Amino acid sequence: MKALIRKEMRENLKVTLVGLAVLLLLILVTYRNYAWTLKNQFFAQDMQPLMGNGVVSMLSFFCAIFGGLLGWLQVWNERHRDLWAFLIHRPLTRTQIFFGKTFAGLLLYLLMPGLPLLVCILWVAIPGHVPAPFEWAMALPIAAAFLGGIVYYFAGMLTGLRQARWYASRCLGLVMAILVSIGVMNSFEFWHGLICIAAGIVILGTAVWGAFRSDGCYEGQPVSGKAALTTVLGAGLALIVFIVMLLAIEVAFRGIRGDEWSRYVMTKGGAIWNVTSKSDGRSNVRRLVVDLDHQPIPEGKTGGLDQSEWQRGEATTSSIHLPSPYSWRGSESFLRSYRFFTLWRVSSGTIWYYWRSQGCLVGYDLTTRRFVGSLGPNGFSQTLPSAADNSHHSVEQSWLSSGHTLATSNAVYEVNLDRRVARRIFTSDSERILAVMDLEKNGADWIYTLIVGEHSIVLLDPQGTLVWKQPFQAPSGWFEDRLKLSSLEPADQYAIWASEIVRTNSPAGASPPVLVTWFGSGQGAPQSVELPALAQSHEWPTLQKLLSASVPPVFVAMTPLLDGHPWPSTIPKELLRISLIVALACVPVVWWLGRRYHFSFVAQVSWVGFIVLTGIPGLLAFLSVQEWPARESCPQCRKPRLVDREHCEHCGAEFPPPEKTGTEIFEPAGTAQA
Amino acid sequence: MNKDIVIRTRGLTRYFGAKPAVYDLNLEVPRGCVFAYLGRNGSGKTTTIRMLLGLLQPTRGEGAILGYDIRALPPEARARIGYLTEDHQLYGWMTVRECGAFQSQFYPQWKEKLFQGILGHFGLKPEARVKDLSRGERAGLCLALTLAPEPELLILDDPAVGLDPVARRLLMESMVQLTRRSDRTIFFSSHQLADVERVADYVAVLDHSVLRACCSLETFRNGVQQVHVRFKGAPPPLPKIPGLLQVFRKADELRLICVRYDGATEQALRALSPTEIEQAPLSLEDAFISYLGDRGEKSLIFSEPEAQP
Repeated sequence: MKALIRKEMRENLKVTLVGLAVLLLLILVTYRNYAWTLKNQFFAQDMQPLMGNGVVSMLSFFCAIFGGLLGWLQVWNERHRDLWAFLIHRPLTRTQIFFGKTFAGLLLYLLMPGLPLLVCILWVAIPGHVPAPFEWAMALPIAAAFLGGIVYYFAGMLTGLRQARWYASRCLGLVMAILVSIGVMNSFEFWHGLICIAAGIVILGTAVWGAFRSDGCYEGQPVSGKAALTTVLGAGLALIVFIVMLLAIEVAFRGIRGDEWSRYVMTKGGAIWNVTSKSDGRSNVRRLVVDLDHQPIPEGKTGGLDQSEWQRGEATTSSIHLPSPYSWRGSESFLRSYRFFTLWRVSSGTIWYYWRSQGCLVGYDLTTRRFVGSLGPNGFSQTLPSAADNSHHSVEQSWLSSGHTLATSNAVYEVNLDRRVARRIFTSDSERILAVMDLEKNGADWIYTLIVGEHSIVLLDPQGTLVWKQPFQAPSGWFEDRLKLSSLEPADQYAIWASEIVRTNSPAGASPPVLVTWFGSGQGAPQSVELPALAQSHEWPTLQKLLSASVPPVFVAMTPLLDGHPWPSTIPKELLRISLIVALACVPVVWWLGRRYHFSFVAQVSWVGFIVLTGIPGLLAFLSVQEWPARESCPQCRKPRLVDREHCEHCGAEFPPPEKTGTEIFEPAGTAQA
Repeated sequence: MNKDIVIRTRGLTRYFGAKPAVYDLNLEVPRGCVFAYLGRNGSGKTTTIRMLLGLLQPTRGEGAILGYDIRALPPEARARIGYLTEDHQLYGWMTVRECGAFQSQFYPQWKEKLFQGILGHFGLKPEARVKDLSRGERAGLCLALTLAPEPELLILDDPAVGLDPVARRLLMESMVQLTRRSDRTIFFSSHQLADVERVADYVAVLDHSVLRACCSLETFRNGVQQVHVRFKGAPPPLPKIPGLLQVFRKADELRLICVRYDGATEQALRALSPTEIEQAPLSLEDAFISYLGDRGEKSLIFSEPEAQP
């Protein structure tokens, strides 16, 4: 097998070197852009290049393309019938040949792009190269991109091996690899993504191994290979069927998407409107706008509000981030830099970040790119705080924070970066602080700080004087967009929205009523109004119902898990019912084909189970993998019989010998000897 | 399994779609012989070989090679079988020397001297790249790679196809001279009947996916015979004659090619009152062409004789 590994390494060295050249070029361009950003002081959140969206996306694409190409070439180079025979006719098992090729391919992949990426990470880790916080966990997005390429490697190999048409099921392995990438992109923790990648590698790797055993055919594979191949095709077809269905609905059934929904919006003047939007299915949304007394908003000559008028009138509203009751759902994804740090501001040649794990601000000199020091509740230090110092600094900093204050779980500090000092302006003895947001007038003057605690919302002025305080109940359920802030006109006026689920922990289900509180300078005591719950339809939109017909029931059942909802109580039952009905409608087709081609009882029941779980994509996968044998008329019973059986499945007769022509010449073997 | 039979198939069948490429093949190849596997293009020769080597799964039927089931040939069986493919495909980027080094690592019994000898016979330079070799040189290299492991069974799929006469003769002679051993079996398919006549002990003939003959070369040659039947005038219509392959009709003569010309055939011909019946020798090539060509009667009278002045 060593000879085979050496041969594979040598054969694919050229493509690896080309890949290396491309990768180095990409890295060079990235570095040049990064240096340009620093020089011109266009600072953004992706100052740590390992966490930069562009860098991670680029490397993900590169690893996927290179991995897929390498896997495909390793097989395609030998797909000439005679060369394949030369390879297979080694005194090795096909499993050994598979492992030999895979070992060589993965070794090459490890060297390129693995080695250059490792060098890049090490370079970033060395102080003085990047003026941004560094943790080894920041390399995980690139690790995920690298490992994701292995999935594409097997997908490429399967594409090369499959005995199927290019436009049919041959490339479905690559589609499954895309599905794995989607899974990784939507993972919150690295290990979630790792599970997706591991599943992709195991399934695609088993399918490739099976394909090696059978020269790319379905028949002749071991059961595990067949199951893996079917899963690959089923998953790939699920994505394709979904996209096709989506397009078909867009093109053919636009008229039936008459969905309707209502919501409250706030105008810049502080008025609340109840807006009911209705889609006529042709990209036109008709809005019915009424005030809280159900009086229609005065219409112009058009009879309603046009888009620009609408946008001009609506106040900017942002969510205030609260800690999540779901440990893995509430934090940022491992792919996003906000999980680790937030760019704070630049001051006197120093770029400051809020570093979550350290619980303090950290500064880097823009010239030397080296660490300057940290600034936290204990003041400025030229080192990072010790573990004992930062243990209580766990407050979520709002994205909208403009960087005047720094909060711990029980205190808020005013931060002065020029003087490098932190002054305590608020202390909470009775409750934990959940979120803090600094409010500015005209984007510059700091006028308030909003503090969200477990039981109250507090508004302070910059001197730390209490402006108002409102009772509040921290959420224990699903919380997204439950606490929002609207910026009004004039610029120092605001409104805070707290929905019922946040205030009282009312059970989910009904649309919650909303409490709106206006506050601002010169207003005196804040005013509040309790808005009635909006009528919320429990019907799923028609589009989703139609789409669910094309989605495997098992996917529909698993969707709550993807969003972090409790399972199984939140399964969308109506969509699952539609998906199951369609899946059950596919069962007779499978049953009929199974009987026609005389599947064993176990095979037939297994296929029916698979179709019930996977619906239309499963049926298509079933049709794709099966190699339907020809049927001939049995000379004895006249019924069509399968040619791959030794005996007629109807009457048990053997196949007749070829018809004699009278010109046959046979004699026993061994009659003539050399 | 009989130890003297190295290849045995029973009802071996392979369909491509609804069309049988090989149908109900029952074959036995004795040890130590040179076995020629003949047939027209598309008759199923390569399909048979690929099934025997486990490169293609049979639709039904069974087979054994060196006692191993062809559906699951283990590495130890492959180590004992040399296989030379039709197109002599190798890795183009390798040099001749690298090809030998690559192949030798799979076969502990590799004979470097034999390998070098065959390379020398074909005038191949070790540093030459495979992609730069002519087709004949590539065939020679493939032969060297196949023979150097000293296989017990040699399977050659039309090894001389596409070669010029000189290269073809060189290849066949090398093959026979270097490989002929009492314990080695050679199974080869070919269209080159002169080569077959020179080296084969046995022939098997496939006709439209069906095995029609499997016998010694001598038996095949003797089995297909040519008879001239002359008449005073125009020959009468021919009755049904068993084993008749072809009939050529002239003005006063019928030329028949048939299988197993015996007393019954002669009696049927005598009933036509001919003036003379004469058996004539037939070369293997003619016998083979007649055997696999279109069956039935052909007229050699293409125009009426010109009127005498």
